[in-house]
Amino acid sequence: MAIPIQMPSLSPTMKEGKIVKWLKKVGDKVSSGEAVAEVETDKSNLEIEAYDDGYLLQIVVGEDQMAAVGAPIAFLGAKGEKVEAGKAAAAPAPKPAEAPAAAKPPAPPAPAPTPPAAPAAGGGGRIAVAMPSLSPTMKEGKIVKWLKKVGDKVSSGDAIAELETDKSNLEIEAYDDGTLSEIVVGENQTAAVGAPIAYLTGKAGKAAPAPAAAQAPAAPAPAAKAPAAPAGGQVVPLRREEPAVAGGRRLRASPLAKKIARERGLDITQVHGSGPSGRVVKRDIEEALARGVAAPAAAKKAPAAVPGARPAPGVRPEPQVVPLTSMRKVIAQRMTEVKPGVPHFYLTIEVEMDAAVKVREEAKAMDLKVSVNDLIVKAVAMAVRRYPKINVSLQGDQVVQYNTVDVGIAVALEEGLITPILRDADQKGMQAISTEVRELAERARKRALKPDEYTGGSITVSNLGMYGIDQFVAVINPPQASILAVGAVADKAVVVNGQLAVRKMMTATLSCDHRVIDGAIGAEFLRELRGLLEHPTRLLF
Amino acid sequence: MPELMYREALNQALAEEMERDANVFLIGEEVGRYNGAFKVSQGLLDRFGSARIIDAPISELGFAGMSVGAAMVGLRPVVEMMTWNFAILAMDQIVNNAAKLRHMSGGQLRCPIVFRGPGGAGGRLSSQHSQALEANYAHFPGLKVIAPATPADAKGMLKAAIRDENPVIMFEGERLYALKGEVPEGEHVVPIGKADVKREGTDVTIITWSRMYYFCMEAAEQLAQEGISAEVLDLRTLRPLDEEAILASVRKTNRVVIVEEGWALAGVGASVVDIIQSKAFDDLDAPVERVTGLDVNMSYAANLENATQPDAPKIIAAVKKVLYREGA
Repeated sequence: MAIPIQMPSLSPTMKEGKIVKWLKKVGDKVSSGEAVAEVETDKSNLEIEAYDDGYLLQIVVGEDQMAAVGAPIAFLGAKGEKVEAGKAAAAPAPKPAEAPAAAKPPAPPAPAPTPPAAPAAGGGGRIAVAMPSLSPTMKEGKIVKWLKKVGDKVSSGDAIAELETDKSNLEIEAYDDGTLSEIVVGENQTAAVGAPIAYLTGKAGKAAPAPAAAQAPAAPAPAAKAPAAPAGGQVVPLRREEPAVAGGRRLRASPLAKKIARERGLDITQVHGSGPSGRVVKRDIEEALARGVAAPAAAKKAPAAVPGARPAPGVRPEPQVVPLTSMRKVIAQRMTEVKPGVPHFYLTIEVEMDAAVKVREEAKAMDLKVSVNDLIVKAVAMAVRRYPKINVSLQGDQVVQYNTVDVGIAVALEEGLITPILRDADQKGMQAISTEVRELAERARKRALKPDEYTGGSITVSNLGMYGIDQFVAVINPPQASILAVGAVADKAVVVNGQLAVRKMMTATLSCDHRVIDGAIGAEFLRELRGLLEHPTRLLF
Repeated sequence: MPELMYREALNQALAEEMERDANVFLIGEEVGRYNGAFKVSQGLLDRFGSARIIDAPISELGFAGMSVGAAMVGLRPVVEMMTWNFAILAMDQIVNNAAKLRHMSGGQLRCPIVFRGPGGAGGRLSSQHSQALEANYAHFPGLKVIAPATPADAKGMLKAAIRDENPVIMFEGERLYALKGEVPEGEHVVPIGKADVKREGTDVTIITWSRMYYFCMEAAEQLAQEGISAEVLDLRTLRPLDEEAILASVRKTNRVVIVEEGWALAGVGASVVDIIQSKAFDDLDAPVERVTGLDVNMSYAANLENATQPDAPKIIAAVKKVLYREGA
């Protein structure tokens, strides 16, 4: 029987993905774990791997076409096998709501004399809802609450249950339309990632009781034991390991080279490999480290309309219409939700940066690359540590108090922005912060960040100082509850002890989620931040 | 320190141990009146008499079994095999009896016995008499297997073997017997199970044992002239392997070449690679290279015999490969 390859969920916010390129063509042999296609998500370009062996029978979603998460993008099967009519009808989904082919009742190809072997994917339109992988470290999830009950109609994108993972409480969304026919994992029960937690019956299908065979493997998993996904179930396991280098090639590097790169915070995908088949070996890493961090890839310039090009007299050029990129779409959607949904308030301070600038200059004299922004990140992390009341997140009707200080850094990309997270920033020295921030930003620009590198976080630092912006206010990036908007450091006339003096001044504005942070908490945090930046020696303690 | 030949060092060890312990005796073909096929037992018959230096008939299985029996009842036999090629006949006694008596008797019986003799190619002896068979014995629990390269280690390890309460298989070498080296006088015991860094280096680890050690040292000398610093780790004991020493050197140099006279398949080097890949994977900068005897029966013709065996140029080529300096 033909097995669908589904659009995987590669980030917590991903709803759909665009096929950039097929790496296999119809008729090709595919092994489990092999990359079959490159996909553009709202965050990065990644490869889709096959989870089964077989031959590529049919490509459903062509290059540059979109598909909803969970929708079949291709079918695998035995050599020469035909895809069943019901499945072959699957079309690329322009909207998630219309997506999954499996939701449609598959017409049995021919009256089979024997009963179908895998009821989950066969007749009746029964679709398993799998426990999704919502963070790279998630092994299992606990159902906190079912938001739908058996018999309820469910549309793709509907939240059907609330889930507690190792990181946070999140909602599970349906990827298919149908009727909730069975709940397998009850409230307060735990299931392994990939295990079915419920079954939907397709639009036209009857909410028939599930065949016993399909129920068996669906039992809630005992902690840490992941049961194998049932054959034919709509299960989307998420696994990604090594970063692929640009262009989708597999990264070749010796284990030692990988280890050193990991330890030194070097982006190994940026290192030229001198070994056989371009293998990156120790000496390549050493050379790259000696040169400083690997040079950032030259930003690709889109051949856009030349600004300032004069139109011919009398001709008014037509506006260009460009479809939203996946990233732009998510940004648009999130901003629309966040700005009215989260009650922001703003606190602004001016900070005298003479001492901080001096630290940077002294570091430079010692050949240490430390930017003013690195100092700000460090100071923010230390201030968060001292004022943990700012290190919170409102999730549902609960407040999550974080015990780690993870600072997001807003990175501008050509088509949007992303905020990679510097983990445990309060524990790190300036050199580590500097190296890691640069490395994260660089991979952000190449859209090579892994999901756990841009999810979560305590607070974000957004710095537009390099553009000469004096002051601005930023939109909070949930689940975070605050964001610091940093302006340029500039010489200003200030009054010191009743005298006019010239000082290097910087304006910073903190946006806070008033549901969980009050004015006084934000003000105390900012006072601490100012103290740390004006007396950077305190960063050492 | 006096300079002795490998055979003289072994002779010294035998004499000292026989002097020290009246239960030690030597048995084998031509060990007595002929003073040994390779003169290892020179003068021992005169010194210790025919009750302790016993000329055996050409019957390896017979005198091996007789000696296992002697060990069971309290003596400490040293059984000389004229070469390990001939000891294949005695494998049943070595493997099914010597290696298993302690186990089969629930610890009631001991088998403190040494089987020793030359292994590897002797020079124009063709396929039946040129085999490096240590991997065969290293396979069996219940045995210890040693293969010292230098006269000092030969003396110290034979003394340790004779004092061991378990059967020890000792590989010497026809082409080692006449090699000279400094040998400590008197009580010099080299523990079984300890490898030895014979030459310190930082760029690559060459792991070897027995006669191949000399090719490795020659290669290391030449590599040094090209600015490549090779560490030579002499395993000395093949069972049990000194994992600690192997891993320490790999972690230092990150690149490994293993040189083995025997064939590659199921060789001792294959097990060393396994230890490295499973316990020092993250320390490897290149796949481990092996230089072994070619996968053919040994030729009689001298040019083909040389081509079949590892030598310094082959080792140097392998070192350059793991250093990614091929063609350099």
